[in-house]
Amino acid sequence: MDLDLLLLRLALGFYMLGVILAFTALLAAKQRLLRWLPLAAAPGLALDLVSFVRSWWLRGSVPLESTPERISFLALAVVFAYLIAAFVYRLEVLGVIILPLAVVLELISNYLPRAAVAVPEEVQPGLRFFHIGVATLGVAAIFLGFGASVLYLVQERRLKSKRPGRILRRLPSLVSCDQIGHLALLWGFPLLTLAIITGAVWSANARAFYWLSSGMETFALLSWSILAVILFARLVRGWRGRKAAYLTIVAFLAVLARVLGLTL
Amino acid sequence: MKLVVVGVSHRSADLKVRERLYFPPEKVPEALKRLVASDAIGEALVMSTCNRTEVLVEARQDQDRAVVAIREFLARERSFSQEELDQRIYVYRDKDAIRHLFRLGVGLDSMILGEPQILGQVKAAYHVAQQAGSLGPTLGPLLERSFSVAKRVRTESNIGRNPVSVSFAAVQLAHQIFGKLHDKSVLILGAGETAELAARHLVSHGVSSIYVVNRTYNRAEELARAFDGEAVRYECLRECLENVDILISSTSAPEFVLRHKDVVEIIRRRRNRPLFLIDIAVPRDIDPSVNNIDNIYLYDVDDLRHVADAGLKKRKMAAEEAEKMVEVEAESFLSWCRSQEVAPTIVALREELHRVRESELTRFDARLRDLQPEHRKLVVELTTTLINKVLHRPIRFLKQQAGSVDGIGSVDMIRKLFGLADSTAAGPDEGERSVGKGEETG
Repeated sequence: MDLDLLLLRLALGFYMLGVILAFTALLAAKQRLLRWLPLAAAPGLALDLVSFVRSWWLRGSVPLESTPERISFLALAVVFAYLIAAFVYRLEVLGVIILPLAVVLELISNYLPRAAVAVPEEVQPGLRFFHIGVATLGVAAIFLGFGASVLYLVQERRLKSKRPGRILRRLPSLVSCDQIGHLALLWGFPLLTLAIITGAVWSANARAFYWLSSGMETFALLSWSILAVILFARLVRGWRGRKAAYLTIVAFLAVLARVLGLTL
Repeated sequence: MKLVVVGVSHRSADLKVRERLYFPPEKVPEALKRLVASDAIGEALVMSTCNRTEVLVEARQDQDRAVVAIREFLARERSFSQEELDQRIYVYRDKDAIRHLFRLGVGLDSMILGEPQILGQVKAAYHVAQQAGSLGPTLGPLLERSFSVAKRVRTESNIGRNPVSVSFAAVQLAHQIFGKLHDKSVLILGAGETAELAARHLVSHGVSSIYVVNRTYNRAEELARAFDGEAVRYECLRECLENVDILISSTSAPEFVLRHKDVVEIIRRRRNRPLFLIDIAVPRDIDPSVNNIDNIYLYDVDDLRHVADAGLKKRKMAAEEAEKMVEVEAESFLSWCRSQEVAPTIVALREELHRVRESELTRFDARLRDLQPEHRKLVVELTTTLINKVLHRPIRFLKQQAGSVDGIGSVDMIRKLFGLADSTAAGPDEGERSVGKGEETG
């Protein structure tokens, strides 16, 4: 097995450890275990990064040519976003949602055929990599927003139904779930906007047609519009909480459809 | 180590008896001095609260004599007859005493299961005893250990986490909605004991601004003064609700003070910032259908009680876990105590035998003079290994005994066998005798 694959598998191992911890914490109602989630995910992220930089070094170009590479990079970005939420905002519990998603992404990337990539001659490779980079970070932010929204809805349901929760005794407070969801969109929206613009410019130059006609990007545009609606309603109409959470989940599903579309 | 606890608590005696046995804090140092003056008692601690009075001592020789001394002390100090006292006191010794002290700190013996005040009370008693100089090498470490045990067990078993009172349930819910409460504000509408208690809890958890509304403005001002808050006129209630985060309502109004449409309007003006409504009034002040409005969380007295009851159930479950942890901790402290007694014996044993070796070598010095230097060195090495081999088994035996029940008896036996009874002043004669024994067994 080459070193590259080994690094990725090891990273996957750490993420899986995180998932196992998360589910044990849920099923056995052991809140304390949640504290360890970021510590399981962090070494995985480090290995992922090493593998990424190493491929870049060896190949001399950004390793984002093939679909498996891009999906693996997305997993990396998603875990990165999670670690920020965990270490800065103490929302370790988000790992219960985010880490399984990262594992699924890594698995998809792992089982897709790894064809040798012929680096194409192109007009503006820098622009294309920039496009992929910001798009991936934007998508990772939406993943985080999704996690926060799910937590918000669970916590809101518990408070409204007036039954003290059985699964986990203490979820993060409603307000902090809402804030993280909002913050994720505040990052995700400009990143995706930038991604769409750069994508359009690159595709117009390279292929001489606008990417919109390619069909697959409809999902990207759809989720971008939903984000625009949420942010607009939030700023202008003072929307927050449940409605914003539901819409964030819809935006996430659209983004997910776009990501999975890559693999087809 | 000979520990004894004698005490009365809410479990063994009613308030009348506990009142009579209560030691006011300023009287405790004197009482401690009289306690340790007894020749049956080495170290002592007196802890007295509204729920219990306990005397913890280290017995000098015999535990029964210490128990008698404490009973006499209590009877004398608080003018009880022995019979009166005997019906109500409980006595714990050694491991039971350690366990009792650990359970106390965790709140397992408290009237409200898992309540945190008791730990502060034990700490206060510890400081008083320390100042009075009645603590020593046994009770000092024991009490310090009980504090760390209490801290660990409380956090790990979550015994104190779930609210068991209506007012504390309100605080817990506020935390679940807002997270930190330090920049939040609360409005008290009407007055009442539970409402004030809940407000007090909220303040102690960081809520910074308090507003009070009452139909009669004077009463609002009165209550506001008590809370260091601000009185607001009844006409401005709606306006005020646009700005605060939590409302505690307990008016005696016969009909709803806040209707569904009022709250819809309020939340619109708040631009959907969440609002936590606590309705403690009976009959209720707030239309229950308000709970269906987004970003409004309405809890009435029954809802809060429901949360508190569930909390109590969880506390009982946590208590079971805590009991197990306390048991383990008591066991480990006990074996630590024993190892403390074993360690000096091991050192003494080793020193004693090597001292014998050296004195014998000096004695034979004249006869060994003819040997070559390397042979002399060999003799030294030989004797050293011999002693170490002989020591190996007794030391291993002592270390094993450190954790077991009859460890102390074994220590005594070894000390007698090797003549270590007074480890500081073992004469050369004794040394000769013990080396003879060593050779026989080795």
